[in-house]
Amino acid sequence: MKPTVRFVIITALRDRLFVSLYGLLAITFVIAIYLSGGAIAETDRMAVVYAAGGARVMLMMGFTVFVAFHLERLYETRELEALLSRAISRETFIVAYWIGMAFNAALILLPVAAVIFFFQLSMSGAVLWMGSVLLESLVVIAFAIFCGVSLERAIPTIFVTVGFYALARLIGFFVGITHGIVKSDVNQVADPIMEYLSYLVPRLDLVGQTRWLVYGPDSLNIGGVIAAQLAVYVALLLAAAMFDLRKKHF
Amino acid sequence: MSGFLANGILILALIVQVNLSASLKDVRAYAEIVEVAPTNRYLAAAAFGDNELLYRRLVMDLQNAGDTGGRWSALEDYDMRRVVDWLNALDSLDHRANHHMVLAANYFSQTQAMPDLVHLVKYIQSHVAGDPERKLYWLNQALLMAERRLEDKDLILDIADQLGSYDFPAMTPVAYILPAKVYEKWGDYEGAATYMERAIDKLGARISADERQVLEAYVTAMRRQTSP
Repeated sequence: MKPTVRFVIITALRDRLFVSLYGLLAITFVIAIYLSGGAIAETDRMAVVYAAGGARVMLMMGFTVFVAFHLERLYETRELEALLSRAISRETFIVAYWIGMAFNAALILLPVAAVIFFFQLSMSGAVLWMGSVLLESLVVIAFAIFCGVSLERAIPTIFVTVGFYALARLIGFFVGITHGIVKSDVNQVADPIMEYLSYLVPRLDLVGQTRWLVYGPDSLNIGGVIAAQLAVYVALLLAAAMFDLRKKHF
Repeated sequence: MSGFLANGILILALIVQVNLSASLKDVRAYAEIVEVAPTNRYLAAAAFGDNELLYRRLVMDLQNAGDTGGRWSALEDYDMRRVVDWLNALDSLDHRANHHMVLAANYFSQTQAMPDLVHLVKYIQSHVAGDPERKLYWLNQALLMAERRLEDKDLILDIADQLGSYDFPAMTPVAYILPAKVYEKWGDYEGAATYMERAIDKLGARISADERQVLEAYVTAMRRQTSP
């Protein structure tokens, strides 16, 4: 497993994932600080919320695009076949690939942590935010791996993963609509669909809250449930990716 | 199609495009000073699960409303009811933040249209009522707006009543005493005496015996004013 993990990290370096994302994050931070300068109050809060919120979106998009094109290239150049021809099972490859990307994600999150800690608004909130964004990254990476392995093409992988991410960030809103008082004809059809869909989509709208950075963690006691759900969801996605890879004929 | 014709179309299209753009140069897309405030459902969708990020974006929209795209608008031209709708929308995203309160109490309150101030003062009152322990400071700002600019006795006494209804450890002695002073200023000495008695009662051991004596003398003085 170790060589595959190292392979993912080295190819991330080769494909300039770190340089690109560090550069994008730096631009995001500069824009956040610039925009917050126009606020007539709570400038530091504005800066940290813009920086963290912008960084979260950049990271998710960056990981999605990287995994999509990386896996497409593995298929096209037959590198994947070469990797699998060694003494490594397809299941181990999926896990190793995800661990390699998880390591990359943790490394890339470091400058974000540095910027957030620099503002020193809420230490406990910052730790919680970093942890939850890392978890969110791991789910997105797992989903991108699942799509990349199944679809073998970068563009549909990116579209589907971005769609999934948007849905996961909005699922709480959709569930809220299903419990609304005012019902139209569309609701009669859409509500049950959303209800069932909500059982299959993780609640990413509950993680990565920038208000934690400003006010500290909430007193809600659902952190453990959310972390458990995301961990289970990663396992589910990786198992699905293993299932798909097993069906591939090289 | 010959190359000559294609080149001709290219040059002609470029000339027409430049001329059309020149004719539209000074035309601005219509934009209201303050747009209609977003609905709760819109806010829930637009937040993508991160209300704080949306709050920080929308509060800047409100701060810059009317002063974008090379135009500047007088505060009297703002529809202050819409501004209050925006402030309420921002409350629903982050009630603890103070950026929009600074806008309400220190920026929009400078409007030249006095009737508009009433909307802002009432908004601040309702905002403070939502979380008095954190937001009491803004009630003082509402009182200043009502006293110094509006001089609306009913509104001023209403704010004093609201302040006089609160009692929590972080309240300063001045906050307890202020309703009495407001009532006295507006000629309601019985009200002043009642609120001072309440302040003495609530402050309890937080004031010294000398201070208590001064406050009790104030109550006596107010009662003397009311007696024929």
